[in-house]
Amino acid sequence: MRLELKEITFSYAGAPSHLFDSLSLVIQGPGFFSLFGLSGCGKSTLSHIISGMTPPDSGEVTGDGGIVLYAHAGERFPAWVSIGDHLRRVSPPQDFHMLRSLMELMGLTEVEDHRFPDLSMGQKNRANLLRYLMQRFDLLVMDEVLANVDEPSRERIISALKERFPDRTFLYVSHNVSEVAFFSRSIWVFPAGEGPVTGLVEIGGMDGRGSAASAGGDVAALGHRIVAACTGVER
Amino acid sequence: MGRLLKTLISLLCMLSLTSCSGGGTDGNGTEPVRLRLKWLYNASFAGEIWGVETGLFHREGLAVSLLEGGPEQDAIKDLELGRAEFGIASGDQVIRAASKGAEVVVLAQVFQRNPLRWIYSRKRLGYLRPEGLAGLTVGVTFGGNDEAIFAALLNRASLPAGRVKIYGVHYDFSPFWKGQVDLWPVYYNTQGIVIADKMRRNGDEPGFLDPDRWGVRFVANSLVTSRRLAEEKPELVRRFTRAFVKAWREAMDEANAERLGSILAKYEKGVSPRLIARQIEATRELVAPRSGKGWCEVDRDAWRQTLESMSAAGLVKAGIGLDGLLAPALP
Amino acid sequence: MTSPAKRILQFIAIYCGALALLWGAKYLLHMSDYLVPPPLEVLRYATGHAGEQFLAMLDTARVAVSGHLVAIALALAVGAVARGRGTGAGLVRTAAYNLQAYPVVALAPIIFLFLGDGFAARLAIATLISYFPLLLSFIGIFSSPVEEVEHFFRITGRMTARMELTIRLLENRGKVATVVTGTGTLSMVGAIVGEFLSTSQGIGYLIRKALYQNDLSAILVALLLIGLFSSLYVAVVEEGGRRLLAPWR
Repeated sequence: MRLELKEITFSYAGAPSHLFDSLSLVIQGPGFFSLFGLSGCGKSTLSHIISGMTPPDSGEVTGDGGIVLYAHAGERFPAWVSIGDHLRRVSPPQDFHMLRSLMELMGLTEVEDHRFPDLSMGQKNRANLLRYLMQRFDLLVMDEVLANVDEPSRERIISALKERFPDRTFLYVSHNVSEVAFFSRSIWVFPAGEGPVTGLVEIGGMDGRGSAASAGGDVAALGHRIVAACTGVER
Repeated sequence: MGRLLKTLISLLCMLSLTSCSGGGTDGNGTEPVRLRLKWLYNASFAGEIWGVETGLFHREGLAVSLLEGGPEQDAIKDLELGRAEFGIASGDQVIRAASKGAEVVVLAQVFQRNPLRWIYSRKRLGYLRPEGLAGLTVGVTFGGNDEAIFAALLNRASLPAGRVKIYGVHYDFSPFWKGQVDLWPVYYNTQGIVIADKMRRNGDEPGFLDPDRWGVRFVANSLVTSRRLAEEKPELVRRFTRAFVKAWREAMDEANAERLGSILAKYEKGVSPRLIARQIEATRELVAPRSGKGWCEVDRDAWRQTLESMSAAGLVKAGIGLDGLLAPALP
Repeated sequence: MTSPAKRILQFIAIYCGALALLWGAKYLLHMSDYLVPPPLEVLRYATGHAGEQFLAMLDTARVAVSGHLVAIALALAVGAVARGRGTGAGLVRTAAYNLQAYPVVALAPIIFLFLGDGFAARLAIATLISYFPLLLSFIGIFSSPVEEVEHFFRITGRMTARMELTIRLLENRGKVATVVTGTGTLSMVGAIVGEFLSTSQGIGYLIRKALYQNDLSAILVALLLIGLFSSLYVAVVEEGGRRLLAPWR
């Protein structure tokens, strides 16, 4: 999967200045990538542009024709079916065995008869991510999709994703520095400073090599670099 | 709670006081008086309008304001609630109100013949007599005075009710135009003229079945006031009635037809002068006194028959008397 | 206490309160029996005409409920068409907004002309009166996306018109329940207005007859029956909606 953003310019209607100005980016999959930045820096907007949901004012998004999906944490299932039924309805029947094992991984087996409003916030996030994993896609943009999931589960899920879908591309949007540092092949950081974003800072990640615990020191050092890139403050 | 009750009672008392207002004189020495009409301004109120416009009331020291009537207006209620000093009400309204304890007095009777008649196609039905109604469909307003009048007419003609098909009429005339109903009740001097014209334009020849012609007398528009006013201010009532009767007599004088036409045109906006003239002419037929009677004279026989027709139709309980209701001979 | 029983008791309490006020005013202001009938006369009327009025009310309720159901079905169908962006949809929306501005009494002559003055005309008026508020609500509901639910279906190419309508309808079930319940009483009013204007059936016709005869007793009894039936119907619709939507809360 290859996706290229060329000279993207974008501003919100009525806003005095551009949010992005001639921003370019190349995502060369497969693998796990992250977008990182302070709140309100434009991560979600860029995700929408990458997913084709929001057209840029100028510039273009080109790719190899792969399927791009965008998932976010605020999504809900239709309330009139149980989550098990919904997941089965939106999954290809030949993949039901995969669905079953992913439900186990996500800890959703016991609640498959429940309706979406009856789930905890964490369960809702996991169920939502699960249904996207059951779709045909080449790039999945995951905008804070695991925001309400506890840290150990989150790490377990991301590890499993990388392991089970080695041929897919994931773009993870998160505020968790150590998580993005540890799991990502590359992290694109929204740089510090006033005015439009003209380019992202690309920092190489650990791509999940080693265990999070043993790599603790490296993760911390990488984390400092990422934070420094987006705040402009060296520690 | 106590305070709420007190507020409520004082509010009601205020209402009650305002309802007792009226009387006294204005700056010009004339006494303000309100007259509630039975319906919207039309030729049926020619006398009242003439009296105001030519200053007849004024000469009696009265400043009369006319209050237009309508479907939701009831002059007798206005008398009791103190919203008018005089009113125009039909005979059946008066009898029904009196039977329920309304303290009302009839001072004069405008129509000597009831304007309610049934219009029909003379081309199709020929000249219709009540006996000829057998097998026809007749429009009747259920609960309206035409229901009682029609029942009395059938009774006069010794026609059993089952021989005539009754159709409940509403404000929509289409069943008559479509021929589903053979006879439709109309006010002869107002809508009757318009409908008859429309029939003529369609090549038809209108006929009117007039219950009065067959001996059914049912009182229509009459001048009423409250018993209290009649007792407390007999002189005012006398002056008003005197001017009222004179106004009708003058208004119906053929010599005044043109002037009345132009006066009515101010009240009936949008109605052609020609139609107004014909309405005046038809009204004259209904108001003109019968031989040996005076203008606007209360026709006791007609009142008795009205009461009997209403009792027979179950519209009013038997046992109410007319003696206290009809004022003595005109002053 | 169940909701229907509670509603009816509440209505009876309000009705009795209003009667007490009316009679309080009558005796305080010495109004004649012609203006306000005394309690005994109303009671006498009620006992003498209970059967006639009850049957008339049943007839009206039959028209009102049928009119309400037709209105809901019609509003759903037209609302679904009018939600789109095409010229046709725009035209339907404009027509809906314009038509609802007309009082039904102004349209009634046309209705009576074509439908006569029987069941069909009453049904049409009952339907019309409850239809427009329903339609405006449904147009609003059907044209507002529920992004959090719809996004998945849209981005995965699974969205169908039926799915979109189902999502919007069920996601706004609270609003739908409110407008359906609220229009239940409107439909009752519509049936009564239809009977009042034309036709010789139903409680509206009895009221018109009573007005001709200035019979406030009949009107007071009719008001009681109308209130009771309206409360009952609204309670049944509310309860039905509650049970139907219980799984989704």
